[in-house]
This record gives sequence, C-alpha cells and structure tokens, in this order.
Amino acid sequence: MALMQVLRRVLGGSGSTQISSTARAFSSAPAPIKATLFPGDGIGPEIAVSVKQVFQAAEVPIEWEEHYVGDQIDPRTQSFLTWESLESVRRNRVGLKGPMATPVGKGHRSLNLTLRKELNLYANVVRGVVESLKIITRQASLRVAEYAFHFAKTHGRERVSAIHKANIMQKTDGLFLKCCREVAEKYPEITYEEVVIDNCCMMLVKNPALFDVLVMPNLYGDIISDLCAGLVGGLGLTASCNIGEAGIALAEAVHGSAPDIAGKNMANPTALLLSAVTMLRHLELYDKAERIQDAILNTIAEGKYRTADLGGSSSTTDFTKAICGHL
Amino acid sequence: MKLADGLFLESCREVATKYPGIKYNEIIVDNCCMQLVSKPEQFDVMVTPNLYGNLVANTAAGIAGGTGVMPGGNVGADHAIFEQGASAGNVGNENLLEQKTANPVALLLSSAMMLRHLQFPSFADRLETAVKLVISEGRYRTKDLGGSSTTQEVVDAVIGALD
Repeated sequence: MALMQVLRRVLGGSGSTQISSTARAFSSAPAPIKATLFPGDGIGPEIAVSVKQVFQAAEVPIEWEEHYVGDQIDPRTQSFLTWESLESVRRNRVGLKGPMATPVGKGHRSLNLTLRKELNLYANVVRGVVESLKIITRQASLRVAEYAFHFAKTHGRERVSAIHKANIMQKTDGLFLKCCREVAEKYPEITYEEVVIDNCCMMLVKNPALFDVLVMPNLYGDIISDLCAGLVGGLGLTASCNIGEAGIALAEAVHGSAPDIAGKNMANPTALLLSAVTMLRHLELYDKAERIQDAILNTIAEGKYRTADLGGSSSTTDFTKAICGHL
Repeated sequence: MKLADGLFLESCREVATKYPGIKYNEIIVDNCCMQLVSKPEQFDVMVTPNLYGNLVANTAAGIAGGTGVMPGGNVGADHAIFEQGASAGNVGNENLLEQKTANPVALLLSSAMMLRHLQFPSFADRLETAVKLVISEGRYRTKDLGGSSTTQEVVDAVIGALD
C-alpha cells in the first residue's frame, strides 16, 4: 500500500490500473537510456512531441534530454548551439534531431555543420546509403568503408556498392576506391562492386532494387540520398542517422522546418519517427524498433489517418494517436 | 561550394538579366535530383557545371526511357559534336555488340539535333517524326525498350517511316 502511494506521487498516474501496469513495467524494465533531443525549428517541436508520445506508448526505455538552439551565438561553439547541448550528445552518445533552420547571416557556421564537426560524425546513413563527411583521405575512406561493410553484415545485407567517379577524378576517388577494396577483402561473404555515379543515378531511377548498401564520398552522398528520398516519397518520410567515432549516433529528420505549417498541427512526423527508430536499432533495441516501425507503416498503409502531404487530412496529433493505437 | 558554384551562379545571373522574358531560378543539385524523380515537368531548360550535368543527364535519361533514347550534343565556339546524351551502361557492353541489339534511337535523334544545328530544320523534323512514329507504334523496339528487335530492324523501320 505504501509503495503504491509513493509510486503514484512519483509517476503522477491517476487510476489504480494505470499505476499497477506502470509498476510492473517499472520493476522489469531496464534502466532508461538517456538520449539528447533537438526538436529544432518550425514543425520540429510538434513532430518531436509525436516521437515522445509513440515512444511512451511503446514503453521504450529512453529518457530525453531536450536542448534548443539559442538566439545568441555561444562563443564556446561559435554557433547558436550551446556548449551544454553539444556536451549532452557527447555524454549520452546518442541523439535525435529535428530540422534546424540556420539563421541568415555571416560569421557563424551552419548548425548542421557545427553538429557534424563538433561531434566528429563521419558517416551518414540514409536508407542504406552511407556517406563520408570529410575531404577524401585514406583514414576517412577506410573508416566509412568499414562502417558500410559492418552495417551490411549486421543488417543481413548482401552487397556493398562503392559509388565514384574515379575515371575522371583519379586521385581522390581513386584513393577512395582503393580503401573500399581493402576493407572488402575482410568481408568475403559480402559482394563488393564499384559503380560510376552516372550509371548509379540511372540505375536508381530505373531499377533501385539492383542496389543494397551504397557507400560514397560526401558530395555524391548528398545528391544520391536526396534522389533516393524522392523515389520513396520525399524527405517527409526519410529517416537518417549520423555516426561518429566511438559509437556516437545522431539520428535526424533531414527535411526542412516548414515554417508555413509550423504550429498548425499539420506536420507529418514520419521522418522524425523513422529516424528515432534508426536510433533504437543503434541502441540494439531491435524489438521496440520493429514494433514502432510496423505501427507507422501499418498506419500509413491503412490509409485512414494520413497527414496532408500524403494526401490525407489528419492532424499531426491524430496521426500520432493512430500509430500508438497500432502498437 | 561557395567559391566554385558561387562563381557559376554569378555568371548565370549576369546572363539572365539580358533575357528578361525568360524565367530564371536556381536550385541546389541535391534537391534538383529529388524533384526530377518526383515532378520532372517543373523543369524546362537546365544549366549546370559538368559534374552535376552528368548526374542530372543520367537521372533524366533514366526517367525518360534510358540511354538508348536520349540524344545530346557538345557545342563549342567553333565546333559541335553530337552524341548520346547519357553514357551509362553502353560503353564496353559486349553483349549488345555481339547480338546486334544496341538501340539506335539515341544516336539517330542526336543526328537530328546536328541537322538542326546545321540549320536544316525540315530534315531534322522528318527524321524525328519517323523515329517517334516507330517508337510509339511499338512493333520494332530493342531490348532496352521492352522489345526484341535488332538494331537493323529498328533502322529499317525508321527508313520506312520517312516521308
């Protein structure tokens, strides 16, 4: 009896049934993992709420540490991102980021670039496309190639394609390819191929199933990942994750902040939700990841609750509720 | 890439001011590729530096039917050379050579572009009309367009369709 009263006060529940179910979860759940959350600008805060709601409904053991972009430059970071927020990601080693509109002006780095540089995020994963974030060096190429093959192996993928233009850029892309070949030798069970980027674009448009995992330098990566996003329905649905040294991961929705629909409960939270799922997989919470992903896909497939960008008329909150209902 | 592409854009803007009747806008190549695959009809004429040009051309070719049908040309101050618009998958494809099933449409349409460049518009029109007729009729198509004709059969059909 006394324990229930303490729990009620701590957890803030209202009904006794709710308390007992939370008590069960509380006793058997693992210690919550702390993750940094950057809701971002525009529609960011709304879709971040969706993620929190779905995670709560799925009983994901994650505790969010929220950080916002400031309105003044922090001299320690030369950016609107405060030192505390960067430290939060460094400490938690994992985070989720919504869209951030870099304020117009000179004399400071773009927010996204600040994050990548400060956290040394060298690999960006977008639906099986991996890109490196530094100028082409042996070290960076090896590192991203290692990640690509490791990713392929742990996700049961069979083939890694290195995308390049080494026929023209013999020194830079040539080095990149050499590094990929070196790593490929260590994974004989995975098929390795090299595809010129021109071919890659065409093949992606005509028959994307030809590809499995793609690895390439940053310039092509930006282009190819946007192209792929266009093929699967747009940036509003695309999940992405940035990987850094020593296992740091920052998942992010790569769409814009959509200021014209901000605050109107119209935004599609799918991209941020699917990015959060990528984060869960990185944390090896595969079970939760699958459940949430299935709930999202089922909701969209069912067609009853869809946001405006998908041709429906549901609000963000209704769409989120429908996902929770599908869990 | 502020310096390189920045210079390119500045140059485009300069020229754009001399053609007030033509709409001019700028788009980042990442977004452009995405727009191309979802809504290509929003574009009309595109100008880009060479690296992106290759990517965009191949993406566009993929949407429009493949390298086998897309014509192209390289134009300079004193000379012009016309060739297929997109290159992917053709060079070094031994199979196509052996079975004589390469699609001649791209090069035929490229030569029509050349005729236009040489200011023979009526010849260009006749050739283009014949090629388009053969494709739309659908009886003579090489493998890349879903058919099983040889190169020669398609060419014979085009000749037959010339008025």
